Amino acid sequence: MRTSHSNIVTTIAVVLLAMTLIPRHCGWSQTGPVVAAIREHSTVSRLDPVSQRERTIFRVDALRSALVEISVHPGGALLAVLETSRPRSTGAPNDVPHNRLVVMDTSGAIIESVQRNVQRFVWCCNGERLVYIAGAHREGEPGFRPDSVFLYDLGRRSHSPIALPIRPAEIAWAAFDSSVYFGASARGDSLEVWRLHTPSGEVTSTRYRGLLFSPSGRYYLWYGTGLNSRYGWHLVERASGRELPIPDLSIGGIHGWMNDGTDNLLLLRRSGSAPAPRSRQPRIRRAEPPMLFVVYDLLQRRTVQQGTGTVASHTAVSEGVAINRGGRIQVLRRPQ
Amino acid sequence: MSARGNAVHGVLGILTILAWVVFSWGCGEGAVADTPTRSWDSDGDGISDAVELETHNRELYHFDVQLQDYDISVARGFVDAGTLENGINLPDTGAGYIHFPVGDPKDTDDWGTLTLVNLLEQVAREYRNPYGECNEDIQWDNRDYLPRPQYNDLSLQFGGSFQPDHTSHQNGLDVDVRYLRLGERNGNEIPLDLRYDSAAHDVESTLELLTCFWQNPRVIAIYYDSVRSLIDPPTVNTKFVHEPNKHYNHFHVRIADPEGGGGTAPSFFRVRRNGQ
Repeated sequence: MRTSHSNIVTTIAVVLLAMTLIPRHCGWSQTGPVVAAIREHSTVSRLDPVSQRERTIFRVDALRSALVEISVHPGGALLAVLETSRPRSTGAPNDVPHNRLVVMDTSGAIIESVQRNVQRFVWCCNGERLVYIAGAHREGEPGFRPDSVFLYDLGRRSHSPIALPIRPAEIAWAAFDSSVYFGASARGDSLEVWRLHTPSGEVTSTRYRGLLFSPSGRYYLWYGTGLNSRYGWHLVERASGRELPIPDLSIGGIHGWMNDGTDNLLLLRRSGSAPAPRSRQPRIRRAEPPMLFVVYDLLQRRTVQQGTGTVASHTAVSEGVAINRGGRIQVLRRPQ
Repeated sequence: MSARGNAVHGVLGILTILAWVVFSWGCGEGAVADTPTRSWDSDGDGISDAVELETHNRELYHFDVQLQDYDISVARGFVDAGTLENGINLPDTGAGYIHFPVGDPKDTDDWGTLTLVNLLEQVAREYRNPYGECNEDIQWDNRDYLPRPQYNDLSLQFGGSFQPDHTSHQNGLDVDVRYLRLGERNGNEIPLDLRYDSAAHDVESTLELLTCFWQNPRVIAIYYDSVRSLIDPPTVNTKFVHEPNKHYNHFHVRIADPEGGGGTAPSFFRVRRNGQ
């Protein structure tokens, strides 16, 4: 009797030991882009688009703060998450949300925690650095008071300020000319765009009206609010400044560039032939309509790929775009 | 005169007296019949008692709740390059609304044209009106429980640049308004950020408030986040502009220049008015 008891105990111990030794990411596909998502605004999860497995790697106290933005390093080695503290009062000056930027590896181990009230950030310089805009929270456009801009060197773990003649509220990395572009609100709801050429450190003004550049740099997009231009997206040929026709809305509305090195646009539209219901007054959207995504080749002016699903919210990919198809996450990118 | 003629004259006399009583009913001593008084505007001059009693307005313009006062505010220049002349201060609390300075010193960011201030008060009254609703889709059991409208930035006292925050809001024609929070009660309003707190968003109250603004003919544009707010714009007469990157914690309402000039236009149009 005693022997059988000891056998059971031994067996349980072996099973427990085996469970601890078996890698937790068993069944995790080792190839393909890195996908990460914010869940319930309080956790960061790694996602495997092949097995659809999900693993929580980072967590914050949901009562005190919330995660608002996530980005995956272009090489897939790191994640950056923007965390904001929750306000507890009516907006008194001493109780406004404060942001911190957390840079972590793909297992959730924190590499850097930037407490400078980061509001916007972008990976740059072939993934070796990260540029961010800091400023105090504000309930008004653009959501914060742009204050300062820093360049964070991932290798040296150093933060160096960037001197700019404007206080930018928008930021973008352009790999085609190794530059970081900064945008500040200007008259007529337009954007004043400046360029920082990272190899030389030279800062120059540009005539661009937006900074959503296509990967090749051939085009850029900007969004008009209707005050001094047509309301909606504008597509511009960067070199000439010539405005080009945007894809027909019957194909889909512009979501942005495919994050895969091509100059393809990602378009979204309601699936099915039924048009959106007409309404005489604003109304609550009770259910999200079934959506269709379209990958559109701008150069050839034709649809390359399409399918059902929409862009997965609060989800970032190292390359491509995460599409939510009925609860399953699929990464959309050019064929390898 | 016959007895019949006397009777006719008697009836006519009675009718005359009745007509005098009916038509003069309600006209108190000194009141003007064609400017009926309202509970929020004692002197019927179109400026609410709350605005006339506001300290700055009373001291600057000698507003009086028993005298006819006039609109002397003027939107000069453009929404993104303009000034505000004789701006009117929005009371900190009024007919069912509250103004939050959100980090700005008190009474620095709450100035506008009288038309804008009147509109903000009117919208708050309509939003609270128990006998009608702005949005046809929503039926309220008791509007007393609605969270009150919360107004943030209008313009500076003399207008001009709000930099580095706003490029507009320069001539008293713009206002920022909070999205409303579920379960919110007066005195307990907490800012709402739709990026992470959309579950706490009182969509129906915000829709009602947005519709009250939208249906006002003076409003020409409403900048908001249509995706996170879960509110679709109308397909006709849409004044709504979807701008998610800037409007996740408030929506922005712009009215037409009350003088019909170029005040609402951006400076790019270079519309000349008022000799500028």
